[in-house]
Amino acid sequence: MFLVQEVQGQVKERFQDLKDDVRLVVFTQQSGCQYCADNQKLMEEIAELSDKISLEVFDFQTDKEQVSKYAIDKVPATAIVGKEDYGIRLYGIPAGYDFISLIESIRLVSTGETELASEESDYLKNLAKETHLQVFVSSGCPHCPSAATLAHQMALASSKVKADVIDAAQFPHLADKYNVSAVPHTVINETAYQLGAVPAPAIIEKIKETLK
Amino acid sequence: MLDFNLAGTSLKTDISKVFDLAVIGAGPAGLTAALYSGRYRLKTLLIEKKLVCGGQLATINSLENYPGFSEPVSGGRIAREMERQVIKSDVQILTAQVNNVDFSGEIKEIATSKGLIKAKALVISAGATPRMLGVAGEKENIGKGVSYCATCDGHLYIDKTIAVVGGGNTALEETITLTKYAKKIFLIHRRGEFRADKILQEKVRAIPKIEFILDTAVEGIDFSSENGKNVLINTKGKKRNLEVDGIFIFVGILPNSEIFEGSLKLKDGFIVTDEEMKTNIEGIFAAGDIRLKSLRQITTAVSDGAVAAFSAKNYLTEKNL
Ligand SMILES: Cc1cc2nc3c(=O)[nH]c(=O)nc-3n(C[C@H](O)[C@H](O)[C@H](O)COP(=O)(O)OP(=O)(O)OC[C@H]3O[C@@H](n4cnc5c(N)ncnc54)[C@H](O)[C@@H]3O)c2cc1C
Repeated sequence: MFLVQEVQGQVKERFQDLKDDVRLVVFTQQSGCQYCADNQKLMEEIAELSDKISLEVFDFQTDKEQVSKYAIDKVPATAIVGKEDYGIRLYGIPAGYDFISLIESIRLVSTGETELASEESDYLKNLAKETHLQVFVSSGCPHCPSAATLAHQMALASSKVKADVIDAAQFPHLADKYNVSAVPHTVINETAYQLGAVPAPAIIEKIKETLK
Repeated sequence: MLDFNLAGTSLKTDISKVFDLAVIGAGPAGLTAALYSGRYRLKTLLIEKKLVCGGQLATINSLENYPGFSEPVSGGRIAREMERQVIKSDVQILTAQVNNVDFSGEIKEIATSKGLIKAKALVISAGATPRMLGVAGEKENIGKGVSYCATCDGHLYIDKTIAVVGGGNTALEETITLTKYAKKIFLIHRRGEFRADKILQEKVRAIPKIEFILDTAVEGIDFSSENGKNVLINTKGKKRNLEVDGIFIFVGILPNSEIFEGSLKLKDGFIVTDEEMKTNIEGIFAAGDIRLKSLRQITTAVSDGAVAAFSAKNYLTEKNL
């Protein structure tokens, strides 16, 4: 059991205002993945806490069709899917402060309420190209949930935006690839990046830069 | 070790009513002010811009000098406990950034990212942020090897070589935290002696992987050259390059007081108060690192918070508000 009774209570309280059903689509791997089994177990426990939440588990190596449907390229992976698939993904087991991001993103997908200003949402909806946000986080980083939740809100607001939240410690090769040496670190369309938990306009500026 | 925990921020908060007391910033000072205020049964709103409460406290990996904990304890854990205690005393927490304040009327107005908040009294506990060294190459390399938070970024330097700059308590504590990750640490300090508590100095000196570079100023950070990442240092006139994978800087703090410039009396950016945490404007109190004082610690932050709430309560009673 990962979630002690008190935490279960806190999560249930957060889940009281869930509206739409949420599917946690979990991808695991039998061997060679340190946290896959734990991630699955955690998501099973979360799904138990609300009848609005259901769980689907797929194998990264054998369930090829689902892997490509959800565009999963590493494990452990969790797609948080609501009325539709908004492109909201978590890579790595969300422990520590990242657990807050998980719960916030489930609420987000279910309630559909973002904190973006209407002109921000409109801009994102009308993007000419697909935009990919990758937020590198770590479980010990208290600033990370704000950055992670913002990226997921952007994905919810627009079908053009996909947002991955990636644990930098669990995917060190990716952190290396993108030169991540402090978190939160948001990679925007592979070419631009933003450091720290910043308000929405800063990320939108960077998106604009990448689309020039 | 996997740890799963939540705290109470971002629950739905009704901000339409006038609060008795609004508290800006949920670090240890603000959390304590809110706790006391809630227990006085004042209608209290705690405003924090981050999804996580605790401020700088939440970034401390191993806290050793907070009374009541004989073993090192994670700052995040204490912050969570403080937050839970606050929620239990019926304080509402709003996740919002305060952008502007208007202290001209008897009812204070606070413009936030979630709308306008009105309160009869106010405690300002917006704390501080790490100070930059101010050398060439620092700003450009934030996030590319320059860091100000060991708890956040230490794990990115497993078996790497790093430099730490500073000589106070924070610098030495964080150096000890970083020894969990790095294989080699250069501890650079501009004076020949550390300012940190003696007990910390003893600990640091006992760790073999830490090399001391004293009487030395950092003059530049060059992480873009082909010959690796270099820190340019100057020891009493002798300059040399130190090759590292990253640099952590702990050289003091800057108060988060920009939004109060012009409306409150400041000195070097810190809010001036009396012993009762009163600022120069009636009904406005300040607590914690943002306040002009000599010792900035968790213990003094919580003390300030309690005193500020007490003074605010007295103010409301006297004015019959
Ligand atoms: C790395 C490190 C190690 C430390 N180690 C120790 C130690 O071992 N022992 C010790 O006693 N002290 C230690 N300290 C110092 C201690 O953390 C601080 O003295 C203490 O946290 C100050 O508390 P505070 O509440 O005044 O401010 P902070 O902790 O800075 O909290 C301020 C809060 O206000 C919020 N805020 C700011 N502006 C706004 C705004 N406009 N709108 C909304 N919210 C806002 C911030 O997000 C933050 O949460 C350490 C500090 C650091 C950085």
